[in-house]
Amino acid sequence: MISIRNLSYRYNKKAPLVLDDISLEIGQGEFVALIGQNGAGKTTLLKQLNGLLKPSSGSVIIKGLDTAATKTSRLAPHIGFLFQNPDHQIFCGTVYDEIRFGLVNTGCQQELIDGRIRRISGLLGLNSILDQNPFALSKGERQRVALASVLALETDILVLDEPTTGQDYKECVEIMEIVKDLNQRGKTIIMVSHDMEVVADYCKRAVVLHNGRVLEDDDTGVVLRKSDSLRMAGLEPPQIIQLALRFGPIFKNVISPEDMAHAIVSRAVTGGMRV
Amino acid sequence: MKQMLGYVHGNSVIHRLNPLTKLLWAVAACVACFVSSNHLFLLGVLVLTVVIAGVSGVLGRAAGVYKALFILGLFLMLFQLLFTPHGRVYFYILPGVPVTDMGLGFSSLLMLRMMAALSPLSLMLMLTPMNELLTAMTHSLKVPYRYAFAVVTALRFIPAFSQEMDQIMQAQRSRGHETDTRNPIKKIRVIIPMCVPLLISSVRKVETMAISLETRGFCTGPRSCRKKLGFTLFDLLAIILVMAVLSLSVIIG
Amino acid sequence: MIRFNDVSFSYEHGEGFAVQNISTHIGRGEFVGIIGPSGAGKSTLLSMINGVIPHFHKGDFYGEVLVCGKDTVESTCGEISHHVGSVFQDPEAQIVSMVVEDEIAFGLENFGIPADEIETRMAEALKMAGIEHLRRQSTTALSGGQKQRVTIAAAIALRPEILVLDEPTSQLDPVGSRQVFRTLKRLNQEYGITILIVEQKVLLLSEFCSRFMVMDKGRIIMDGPIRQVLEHNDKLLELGINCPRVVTLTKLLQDASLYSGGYPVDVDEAESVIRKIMEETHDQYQESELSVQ
Repeated sequence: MISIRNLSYRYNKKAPLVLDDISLEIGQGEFVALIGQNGAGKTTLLKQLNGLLKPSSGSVIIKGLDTAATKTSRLAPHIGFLFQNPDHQIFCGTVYDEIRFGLVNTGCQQELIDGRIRRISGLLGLNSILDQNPFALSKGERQRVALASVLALETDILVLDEPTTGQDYKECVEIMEIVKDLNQRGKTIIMVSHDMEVVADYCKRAVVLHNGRVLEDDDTGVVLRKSDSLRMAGLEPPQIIQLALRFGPIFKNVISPEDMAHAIVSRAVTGGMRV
Repeated sequence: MKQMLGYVHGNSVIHRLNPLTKLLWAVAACVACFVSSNHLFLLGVLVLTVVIAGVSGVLGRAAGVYKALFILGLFLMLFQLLFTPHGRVYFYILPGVPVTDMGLGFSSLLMLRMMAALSPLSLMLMLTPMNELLTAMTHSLKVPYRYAFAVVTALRFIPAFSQEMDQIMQAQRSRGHETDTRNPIKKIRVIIPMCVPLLISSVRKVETMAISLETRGFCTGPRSCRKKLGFTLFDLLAIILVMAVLSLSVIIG
Repeated sequence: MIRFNDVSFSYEHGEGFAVQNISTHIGRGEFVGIIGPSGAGKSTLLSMINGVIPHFHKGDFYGEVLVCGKDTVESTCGEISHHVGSVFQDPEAQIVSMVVEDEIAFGLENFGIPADEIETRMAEALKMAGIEHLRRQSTTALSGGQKQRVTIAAAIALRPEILVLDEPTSQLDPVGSRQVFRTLKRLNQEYGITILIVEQKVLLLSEFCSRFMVMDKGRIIMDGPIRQVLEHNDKLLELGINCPRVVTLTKLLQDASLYSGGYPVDVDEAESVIRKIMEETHDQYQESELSVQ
């Protein structure tokens, strides 16, 4: 689905490398987190995926399309991109028109448009505010409008740049549950996040970037246990994994508090019986 | 834009001059260039700015400005050249469009004048920290602080806005928006999805800024200034030089 | 130090009260985290302390807010800023100078402080915020965390007793956020500055604050020492407020009747909770691990 080979990138000839020899294969239906410090190259890598930035060397192939030779607007029907700040894209007078914008751009058939908008806004709970002015909505709602306008394109791949920043926990969970649901329906998700709990709760695979290079790339549970690599990348494991690590191999598959409680309870039961 | 107006940090003799001296130089050089119609004089002013750029170590950055001014100048020169039919005809560039000695003289003068008049201004902005300029304008020239602050802040935010514009453009392109079109009517439709978000986010930024200023006592009373901007011997020398250039322009004509 | 007496406020063009019947007291040297869902009135509460309400945002103001004994309605924003320093979300929109030291001096110059005193105060503020090394740097070249520490230094240069911060780390990465919180801790512990911070990152708040104020729909619904507030973690989750995961874990263990003590707030404390459970259930982990093999 996505094939990145020896990708390097610099903003201009004299600038240092922002991405340094990155190779990644991402298959259909994966849920990948890109993590690392600001300036590690996460957003730059995301922008390579839909051709906003073109490789300085190496290649990025999205569903058989080489991004170096394809315009972003031609990649848009295949890859949806949600930017960090919803205010960077919202410009229409109503929520309905905002969602419609991308559909018209990508040449969606007129008679299909209305149906798609209704379906997407139903999914995101925006039905009751379709005729409202997006600028009058709360930050959380604006983020959902932006997400809806991207989802309406019904792309197979969804790229999210810090989708939960500036949201409260409830809004964050709402957005992530929608994304999780989409993933379960087969969409490929690639997401940048600073919140290791969100990563632990939702993402299946985690890629750690540091100084433009891939430092770790494995299942989330495995990557979040590599304390040394994480520290190097300016991150720390979520509390439960930090805790699990202190007990050696006993909690080796634990990610969530529920996992851990379950492990302790079953331990206590069998341990108690032995005595 | 950012490249041409941004202050370049440094500690050269020029950097340490009083901002008023630099401001005077920029204005005087500009005036002199319009007073004088002498090719050699204009060339001299241009060379002088290159020397100043060299001494203060910003030649690399200034080269970009010269290049931009040169290209702009070439266009001006071309126009002037084609629309000056008077004088002795050298040759015809197109049927009925002659290239004449007067045309060549006028157009090269125009180009030199533009380059020589604008480069000192741009150089002054490169070599003077914004806040020093602000202080000089408010304390010595008695420009009301509120207005001077507005001008300087506008300059300061240019890079931030151009970055923001970049983000917005990318966000819209990601939604399949075609940004490159030659059709002027379509062009307007292309621009709206970018201008509206820029406007809205600027308004939000400005509001935060206004509150932040309010909580730091902006315009609550008479201001003080951290740096005492004194005049040194170098300032005196520089001012003499500026006056010399100005009088030369009048004398040569 | 700060006292709210039955305060309610509604914005000029807003619907209903943004905050309602707030009565509370914040003492000298406290480090208060204000949490709650968006739209709960957290920012409004802060704006009443630094005088932005009612001097910048207008509306209907009931009750009284006293900061260092002075009524905020009767003082100007400028007067209040000698007592209360303010830091906001977007560092980009707060920094007005090109060089760090000019930014710190900006507020002092506004108040007409003489040049030699500016020098002393500037050095002091840079030291307090731990950014002496950034003094001569260009403000545009800094990282997000550094920028926010510059805005903090600029605020404390006016020598306020109180610092209010509205989601100062929301645009920062984990490293930057931690830098900011460490700086705040220093200011609080070494210099006795009273700190009020609105923040979504409950994990960091639990680590650094001493008191939590939970807001919902314009009211303070819980207020007390961190541990005491975290006892009501089920209520917090109900409101859509995140809890530290070690608290969620402990709650699950309590429900399974394995534990009945107080809540841990960090990983160290959680570790001892689990070790205690192990001892009580006679689960010799190491041994059973061996016997399995």
